[in-house]
Amino acid sequence: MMAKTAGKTPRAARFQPLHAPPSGAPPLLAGLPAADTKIVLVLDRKLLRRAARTMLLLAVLAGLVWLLPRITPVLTMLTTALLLTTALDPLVTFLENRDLPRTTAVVFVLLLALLVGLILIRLLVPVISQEVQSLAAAMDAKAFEQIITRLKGELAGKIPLLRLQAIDEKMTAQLQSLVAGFLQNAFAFMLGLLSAAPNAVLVAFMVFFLLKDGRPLKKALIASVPNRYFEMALLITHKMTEQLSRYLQGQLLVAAAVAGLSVLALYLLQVPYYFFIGVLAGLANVIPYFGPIVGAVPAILMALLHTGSLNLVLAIVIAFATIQLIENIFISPYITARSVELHPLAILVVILIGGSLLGMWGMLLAVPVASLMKVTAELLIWGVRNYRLSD
Amino acid sequence: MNRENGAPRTATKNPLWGNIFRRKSNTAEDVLSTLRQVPLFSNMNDSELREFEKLIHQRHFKAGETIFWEGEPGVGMYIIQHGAVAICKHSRNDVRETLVRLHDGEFFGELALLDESPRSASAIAEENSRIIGLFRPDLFGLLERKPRLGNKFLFQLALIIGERLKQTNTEIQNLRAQLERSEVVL
Repeated sequence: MMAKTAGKTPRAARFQPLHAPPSGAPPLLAGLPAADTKIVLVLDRKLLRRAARTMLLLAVLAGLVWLLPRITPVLTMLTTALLLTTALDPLVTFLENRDLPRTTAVVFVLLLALLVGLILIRLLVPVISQEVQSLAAAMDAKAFEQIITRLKGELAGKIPLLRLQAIDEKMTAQLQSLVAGFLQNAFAFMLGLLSAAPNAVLVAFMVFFLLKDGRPLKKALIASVPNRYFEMALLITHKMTEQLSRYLQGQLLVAAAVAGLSVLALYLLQVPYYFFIGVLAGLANVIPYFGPIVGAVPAILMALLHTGSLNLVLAIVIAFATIQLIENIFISPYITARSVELHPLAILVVILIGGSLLGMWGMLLAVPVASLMKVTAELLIWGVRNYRLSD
Repeated sequence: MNRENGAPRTATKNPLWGNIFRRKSNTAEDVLSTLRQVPLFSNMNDSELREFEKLIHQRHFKAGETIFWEGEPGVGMYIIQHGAVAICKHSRNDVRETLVRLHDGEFFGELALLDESPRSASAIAEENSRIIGLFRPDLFGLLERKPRLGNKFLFQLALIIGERLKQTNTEIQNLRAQLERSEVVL
């Protein structure tokens, strides 16, 4: 006699004795099944299915934890390709709108990007090598000492009460290593951008296929979603792509504008290496709150190292503050780049996590990836609230 | 919801004279022949229909399965390829009232192509059904990429909505006349 109790019986009642205990059983054993009693475990299908699903989920999670560190470079390339695809897609759509077939439009856009890349490399590589050499010369101990002495003189002139004896030799050495380390890191990053050429070819292939076959791929992925979640999945995917695309395009435009303005300001102020520092400031601007500060530091250091003039430092600070003001008042509101808002603390944490996982690339990718995760979470919550997910 | 005049057209398949070099699969040809039956696509040629074929999603629903619920945000329209769908409203006591039954070649939910307002009724498959879905994000994408084709579709959609409006007006006028007559009788 096996009772079928699926979904109805309370858990405590799922262990059912096959036979009732004999009526003459001793009182001590009352309530316990007799020795010859068979116990039939009645497991309902729902419970089994849930257990199987949980185990599968755990197995997938364990697999991911094992796999993720091993495929980090691939994931970085894929994320970069996805972000680039999102940024370039409007350009392809624009060309398609002008009656160009999709594949031709993709090839045209990628060739254009390649051309711009090649021109930049052609222009930048000789300048970089020259600037790295002169940087090494500037880091020469004697030259550095001269700069510090000049700086001391200027500081004494400006602030007579300052005890300049405090800036002793040890401090000078520490300052020198700090400045050298910072500048070398900045230049290593710029060089790293250029030396990533082999990966860039792979990323370009990924971008090509994502731009060309992105829609059929998305359609095929959505096709596997069960009917009950289908409309929700479709709408969420669309909203997510739309928001992220708007955010990324805005960020790129703002970064380009800030880079352009910084290069111009630093050129006018005659700061050495104005081009790299300006581009670095534009790139750093992608990181909200901290980016502008990170962008201004190399320019200030460079001005201190080369001229030792505090007036120039002040001028650079004013220039960067003005650029930030222009960005916040005139550029961002029109581009609506700040549609995905993250708390400053969250930004700090994700940048640190990105930096510890993937270095400088991780720091640059951290905010867009975190924004993507935030948008996904918000839309999932919206979906759960607005759709009836069970019958 | 639309009910076409007359029986839906079926694609003629002739093994002797059929184009054996045709590269399209049977399913794709089925989709094209279904789209040809729908008034929304009546002004389109084959190459334009193929553009829409790239956008649509084919779904299979079991008998009794819900396609969408009343009150959910609308995403797009559905065309019945094979099967039957009931459009229903649920009363407060959760009693289901069927408003209309739709069959092969008929479509529903087309207003959701325009905005995200909540569905005014639920759609439930009455038998195992193969259904084609055309959704707003894909239509908006088409409008950006191929505005001429998108506009052609939107014009047809406007015509159909206008036709419905005319029918609704006629029905309201008839009801008002009935009401006036009944008041005279009373």
